[in-house]
Amino acid sequence: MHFDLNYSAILPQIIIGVTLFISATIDAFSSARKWPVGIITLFGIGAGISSAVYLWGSNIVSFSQMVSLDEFSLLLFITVMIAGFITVLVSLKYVDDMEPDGGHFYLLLLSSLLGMMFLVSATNLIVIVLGLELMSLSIYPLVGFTRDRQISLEGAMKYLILGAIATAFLLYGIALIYSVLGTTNLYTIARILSTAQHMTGNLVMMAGVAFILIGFSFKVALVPFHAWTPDAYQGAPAPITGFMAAAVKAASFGAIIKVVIIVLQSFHVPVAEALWWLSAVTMFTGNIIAVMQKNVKRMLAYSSIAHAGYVVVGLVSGTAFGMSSAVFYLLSYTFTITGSFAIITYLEKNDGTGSELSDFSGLAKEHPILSLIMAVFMLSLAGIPPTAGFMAKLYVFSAAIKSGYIGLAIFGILTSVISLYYYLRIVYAMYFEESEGRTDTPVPAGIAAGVFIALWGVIQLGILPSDIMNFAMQSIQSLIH
Amino acid sequence: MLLSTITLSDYLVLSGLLFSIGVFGVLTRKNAIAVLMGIELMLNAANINLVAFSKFIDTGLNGQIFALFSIVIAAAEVAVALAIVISIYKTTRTIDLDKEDTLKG
Repeated sequence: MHFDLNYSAILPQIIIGVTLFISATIDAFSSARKWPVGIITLFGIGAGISSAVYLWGSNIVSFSQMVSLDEFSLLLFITVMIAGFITVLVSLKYVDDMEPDGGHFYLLLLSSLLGMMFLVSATNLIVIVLGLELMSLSIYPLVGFTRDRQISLEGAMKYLILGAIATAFLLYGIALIYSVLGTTNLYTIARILSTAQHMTGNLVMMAGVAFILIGFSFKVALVPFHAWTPDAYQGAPAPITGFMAAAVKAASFGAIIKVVIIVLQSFHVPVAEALWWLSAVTMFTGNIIAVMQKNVKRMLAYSSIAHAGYVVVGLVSGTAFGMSSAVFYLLSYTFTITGSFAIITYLEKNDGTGSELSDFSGLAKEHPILSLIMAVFMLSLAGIPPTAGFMAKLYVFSAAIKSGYIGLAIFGILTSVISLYYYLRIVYAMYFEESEGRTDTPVPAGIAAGVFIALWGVIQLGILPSDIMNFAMQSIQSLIH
Repeated sequence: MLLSTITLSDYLVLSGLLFSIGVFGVLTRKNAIAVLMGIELMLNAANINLVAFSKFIDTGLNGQIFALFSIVIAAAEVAVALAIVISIYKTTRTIDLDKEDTLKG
């Protein structure tokens, strides 16, 4: 047995890992204000994004077929690192305000990025589990970062318990699949499945696939496995909520897409049926419950559940175009939701309040530009042109229609009409309701920068989507070949 | 040899039982520590499966190495969980999960 250790296959991970060590060192030797650690983190993530762009086009499988560096993993690297970059920008002032010695915020964020990157580049089920756990175990403490807020700890505890159950299901499912096929290597599994025809009748195999689906459904919050989402999203510090909605979701979906494409091709029919139901129930439940919410963080939590349903619509269609539209959706959602939570971070007060719907009343009078941008983000979430959200929904639904899932597409469009109500509710509050007297603080430079990057992404993907869609197509092709 | 009478299906029954007991514990227990113990049972059920399959089916050591990694994961998870439980206890003086119900809706 020979060992192929091609370190360029994990170059972006190495950059993030080195940044983690440098940031930890600076954190240990710096004073109470931790923004320098954040600046180093920003440079590290920036270098990571540049390396991913530089490596575009390469296709390396290395470390005894444990990780692969292809366009698919690179595009998702870029997605999660953009989410991390915006989150760090937004948190620079927030962390120093909330925790006097909060440098571990950036360290945990970097290690969760590292986990996500291994998760989406894994070609072995062992690495998938390890990446998923590195990501999750770094996110749980981040949810409970503001230790003096009870809701923060409560959210962290609920997230941890349900996350651990998800891990147990995933591991058990992997053990069952391993029992049938005798390997954990995704390529070997795909080869065995493509030659064996009797697998759909194999109960153990079916149970294994079902357990893995349940485990992943917990992680991306599909109904009925979504119970932790509203509590964790509301309890978490606002920048972390944005990071969870964007990056954790993107990375977990990346792993799902990879497993569905590489492994489950011969299982296509039953898996597509399960995903059909999951997406329909998720879109409906998420949007209906979101209508009833008074707290904007909680509302966006239910909205993020609904958006996970829209991504699954892309998976249901099962074609290369459908998968690419799901990847495009993840990227557009990343820009939109991190931008929205940047603005919520600005409004959030030190005790954790400030994200009620009434806190948005009259915002347009005091911050006309910020309100306008927030309105653009809300329209993008609702799927109104010319924003990224519209193009993403258009691609996803047209992929579903092309594959013959017309009912699902119509149902999805109907639920997104419902969603228009609660997104416009925020816009209405900002523009047509009277303010209840807000202490007027200037917008911190970091938040302004993060908001403008997100706005640029939303507009770019909304007006010129075809370039990005081509990248998404290439990324899916790199998995199929 | 006594061990030779233990077959693969015995391991599967054991791990299935452990997993079910774990799920039951997670669903019924109110105490955070007891819930964590239930989760631990579920993870270890998977480990038993992995090791048993590695012995009976796979020619390599994939399953046993996987089990080693998953033991590490379980340990790390418990460390993080206990840290959060302690923080909760410091603020609320209880680790009863049913009393943790500030968040609703």
